[in-house]
Amino acid sequence: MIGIYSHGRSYMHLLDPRTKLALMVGMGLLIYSAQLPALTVLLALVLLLSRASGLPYTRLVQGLRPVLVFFSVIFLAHLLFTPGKPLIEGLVVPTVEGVTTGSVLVLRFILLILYTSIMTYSTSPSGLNYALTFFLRPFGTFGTDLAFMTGTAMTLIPGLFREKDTITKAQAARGYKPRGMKGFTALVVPLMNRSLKRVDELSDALESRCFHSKRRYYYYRQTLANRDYVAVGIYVVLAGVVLFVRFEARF
Amino acid sequence: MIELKDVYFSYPSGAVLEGIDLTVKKGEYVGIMGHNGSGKTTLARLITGLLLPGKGYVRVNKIFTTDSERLLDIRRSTGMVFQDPDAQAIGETVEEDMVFGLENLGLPVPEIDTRIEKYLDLLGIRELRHRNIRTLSGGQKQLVNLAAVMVMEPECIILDEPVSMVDARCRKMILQHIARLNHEGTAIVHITHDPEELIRCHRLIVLSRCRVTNQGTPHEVFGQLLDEKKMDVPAPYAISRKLGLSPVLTIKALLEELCRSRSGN
Repeated sequence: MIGIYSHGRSYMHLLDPRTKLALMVGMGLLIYSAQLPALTVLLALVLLLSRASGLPYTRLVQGLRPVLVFFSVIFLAHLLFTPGKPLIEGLVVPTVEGVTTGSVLVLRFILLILYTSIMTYSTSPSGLNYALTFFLRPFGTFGTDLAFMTGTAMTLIPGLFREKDTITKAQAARGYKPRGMKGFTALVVPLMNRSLKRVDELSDALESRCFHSKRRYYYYRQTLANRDYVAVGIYVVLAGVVLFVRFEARF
Repeated sequence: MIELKDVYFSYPSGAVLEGIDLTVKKGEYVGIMGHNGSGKTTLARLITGLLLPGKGYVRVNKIFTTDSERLLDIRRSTGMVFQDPDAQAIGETVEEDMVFGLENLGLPVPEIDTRIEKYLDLLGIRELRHRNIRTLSGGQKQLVNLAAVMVMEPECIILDEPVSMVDARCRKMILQHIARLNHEGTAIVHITHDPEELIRCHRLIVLSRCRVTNQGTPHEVFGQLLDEKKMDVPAPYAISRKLGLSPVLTIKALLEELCRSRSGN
């Protein structure tokens, strides 16, 4: 789901890309500092934002599918190897602390992915490039180049998933059943090959359309509107609550 | 406006082009034909400065493609449409893709708006304006690619097998747009292996074994190819020659010739 933009006129779509990018970074910091109760509040907020951007919940959740194995490994590792009060007796002991730590960590990853998905769903690549260029402008040409590279790399992510699907289907059609490391190599090698080809083609397309480092993004430039200030206001209140809960719990 | 002189180019696997001399004048429609691997795409990339010749030179509006300082001027005057419709989308939506090149040209927003409106209407893709390019059909994608290049209004458009991956209806539509574009003064370099696509061009060049082997008007070149039995020629041309009629390039002209010869008899 990350990197897939859909044109629309929702509240999230109408927010200035700079506001969305700044809030996404801010949400990242909040997610990093929040514990379980605050994380559930942030999860509820994700669902609200998903509604506000017109992104269906099913599509939002589908975006987590490719990383489910990764999350399971993280959760299991924490469940089994965090010292603390044992849940059951056995050779490898799952602990209560392991459940908490594993849940917090996995929830943080999930929230980061979901927030990024909503952001990219409601922000066009041009808008994203504009926002990145705006924030990286103090770094001069290096900043604008970096902004463009980041924005373009984001748009390539869905292409990678599509390529992966095509390769696995092509292999399945020829009766190949991927197993273990050999199956992994059989997927990764053609995927790398096709991705590099895609990057090569994209670079030709960019050059033939007069791309240059001093490029400025202005067609989609927006001025901050009331809705942007409202969004920032909501974030400030939310951040205050999350930080208050965290520090109150500490002292 | 485009001049190639004694151009040589090789890949690690061997030479692809040798001793290529070619000129394209303003407003001219030049067709380049050749089998797979004859160096057609390499030639297109050499003209736009995406590749540099090993020997000889390529000039666009008297600017050498080796002049990296002025490469942008070359790309402003030569747009390129690639073969694969999926390989050249830069923006996510049709509008974004068209805006990309115009922002690079530094045009003001009202001018960008005017041009986008104009070319969306011209190519009949207005309803696709806000559609995600990835959700379009192959033919629609290629129309969008053509629009994204046309909107930059270059003096010359290089088309590298633009209709080889689209259906018959879109193929006809795209070829009509290309002909109209040329009629309005844009020079066209149309590269393909299909002779049927090149019946409207002013000058036809055949590439074979790294070299230009035939050059002239479509009638002259197809005549030579038919005599040499080296390459396919458009079916109406072959049929009209076989029947002893004056050679024609389209089905419509062939039918007219047949009617004329029958009424003559």
